[in-house]
Amino acid sequence: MKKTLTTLLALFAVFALVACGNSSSQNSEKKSSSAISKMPEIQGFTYYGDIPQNPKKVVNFAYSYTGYLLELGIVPATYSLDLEKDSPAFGQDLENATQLTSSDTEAIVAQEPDLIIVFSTDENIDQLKEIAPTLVIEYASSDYLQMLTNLGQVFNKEEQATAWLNQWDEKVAEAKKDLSNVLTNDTSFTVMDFYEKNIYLYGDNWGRGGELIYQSLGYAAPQKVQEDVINKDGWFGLSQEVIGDYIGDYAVVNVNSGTKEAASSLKESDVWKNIPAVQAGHVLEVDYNLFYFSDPMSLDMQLEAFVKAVKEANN
Amino acid sequence: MYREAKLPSQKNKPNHIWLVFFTILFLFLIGWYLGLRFGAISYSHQDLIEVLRHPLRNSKLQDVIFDLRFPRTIAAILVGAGMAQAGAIMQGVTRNPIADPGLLGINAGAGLALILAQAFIGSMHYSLIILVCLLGSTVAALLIFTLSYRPRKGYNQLRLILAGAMIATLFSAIGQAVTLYFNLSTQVIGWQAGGLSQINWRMLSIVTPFILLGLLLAQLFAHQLTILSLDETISKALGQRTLAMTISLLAIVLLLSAASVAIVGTVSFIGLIIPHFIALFVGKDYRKLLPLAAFAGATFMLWVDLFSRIINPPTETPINAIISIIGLPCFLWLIRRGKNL
Repeated sequence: MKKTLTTLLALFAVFALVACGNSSSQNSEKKSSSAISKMPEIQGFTYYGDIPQNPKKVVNFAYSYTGYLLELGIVPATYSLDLEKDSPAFGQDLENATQLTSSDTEAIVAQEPDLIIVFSTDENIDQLKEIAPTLVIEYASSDYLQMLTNLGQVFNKEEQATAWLNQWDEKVAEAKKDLSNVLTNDTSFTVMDFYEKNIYLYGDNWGRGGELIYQSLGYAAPQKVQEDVINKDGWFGLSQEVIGDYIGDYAVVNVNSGTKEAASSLKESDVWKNIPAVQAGHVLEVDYNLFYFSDPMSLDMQLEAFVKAVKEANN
Repeated sequence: MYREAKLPSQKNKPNHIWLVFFTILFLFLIGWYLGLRFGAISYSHQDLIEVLRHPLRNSKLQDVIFDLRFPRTIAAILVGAGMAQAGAIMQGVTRNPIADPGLLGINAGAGLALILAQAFIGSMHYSLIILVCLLGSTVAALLIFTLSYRPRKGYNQLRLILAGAMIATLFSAIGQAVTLYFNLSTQVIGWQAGGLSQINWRMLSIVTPFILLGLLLAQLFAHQLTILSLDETISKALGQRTLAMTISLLAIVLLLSAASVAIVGTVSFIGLIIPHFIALFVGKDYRKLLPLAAFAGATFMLWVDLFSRIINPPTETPINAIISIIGLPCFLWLIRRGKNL
């Protein structure tokens, strides 16, 4: 008994030593020649180590911001959600990227990153910041457009950010004019998706088209959605019984191949069929894979898809 | 008085059966009534009566009460009855107090089948989902029974329990792997948490025959189950063909629980809590235990479903969360109280 215990302890000690050895050797080799970012003070941004201005190898776990990085010309070496890789907006950009989670410490080290980007809610920040300089971003600490400016400041690409924002404003104004014969500012939209046992609604900062419809284009949300979704958590699980109260002039339903038939029983029910928007044919099915994020690259394509869907519904 | 004549398990059990029956009946009726009236929207007594008088006249009221709440309360009744009775039968057949339909791989088999179908077929209509789940449960149950049966040596309960636990674990592990690999968690999490939302008359029409048939057959086999549950030697000495009986009873369990799981998703604990609770009052006589357990299970599910709708309206709470919160303390209390557990 005593012998086994000693052996175990010895083994444990060896492991601990090896582990320490590893991390210290990583620390010493992170010196690189490239310029260091100004690291501006931004609400919701925390920096650990010297953030490079032109990172060569970015390990990115803040999946909401992948499209922002791509827009600024920074191609992450890793991704975390299949939604990033499959996004029609990102195209082939992430073709050579590896999928990692923030607990894959060894695989992250093997990437030899010069920058790691994570959400502030990540549990592994302490380990990650030992591996490479780490940028921690609090989700939704700034709105979806300001985030582009913020990241532009960090990576010294403010001009690119401003250029995109300016053309975005023009594009949005054009689209609104284009749709003005069918939609007014008071036209209300409900952003949602369906699963077999659940119905979810989304607010104006939770992806799925919310930013585009409520913030960029400035269309209205039904009173109930404003109260229960936008003014509260940003997303909301709903009972089928009251779904009619939450649907405005249009319903924007996010679907992909995995959810196309979900909630068929709801769609066969009178409760659904008697909703005015449903009777008017104002249910817009949009591609979940495209509408999931709200970054510049996704927004560009979402706007086109949205305009097309609204026009089709009104033909 | 009757000191000699009673079975050991019935010792010191006064005749509470009718009291128990009427208590359950009372709770059942109240539960059903409240279940129809309350939810994301609350209706008045008059509204409810009006709809019940003219169930097919279209109105906003009828759309909710008759098209949504009626099927889901009936589903709660059938599923509660089916799962409680399936649990009681499992405990009798395996002579093991902690057996439940999960040991026959029902949840795990249906879950794995659903996940595989989601991964390879994609989104499915609910009738296909029910079919896939039934198929999965059946395959798992057959596999478990085959593993626990050995040619010439026959079958034994302990091997059934071990094979069941093993296959269930294996299937859920494979299910998790596939879920992760194909990123299906958002699609299947609702099913795993269990719920009676989005159940309609058509879904009911698919599973009701299975559950009713199972409930009926179980009554016919109840006396044989009492004998089987005693002891292998005793039941054989009493002239029972134990293997044939075991297979028939397991088939009933499969019928009851596979159909239940197919419409509500994973349900746990009902098959464990309810039979033990009823056994406190009626002992291990399955002719009384089975019908009462079914009735109590139905009542329990009605209340669970009601709570799932009114705890945080208009959001629905998954039923397994509620079953665990109500059920586990009850179960622990039962374990401390009951002497024959």
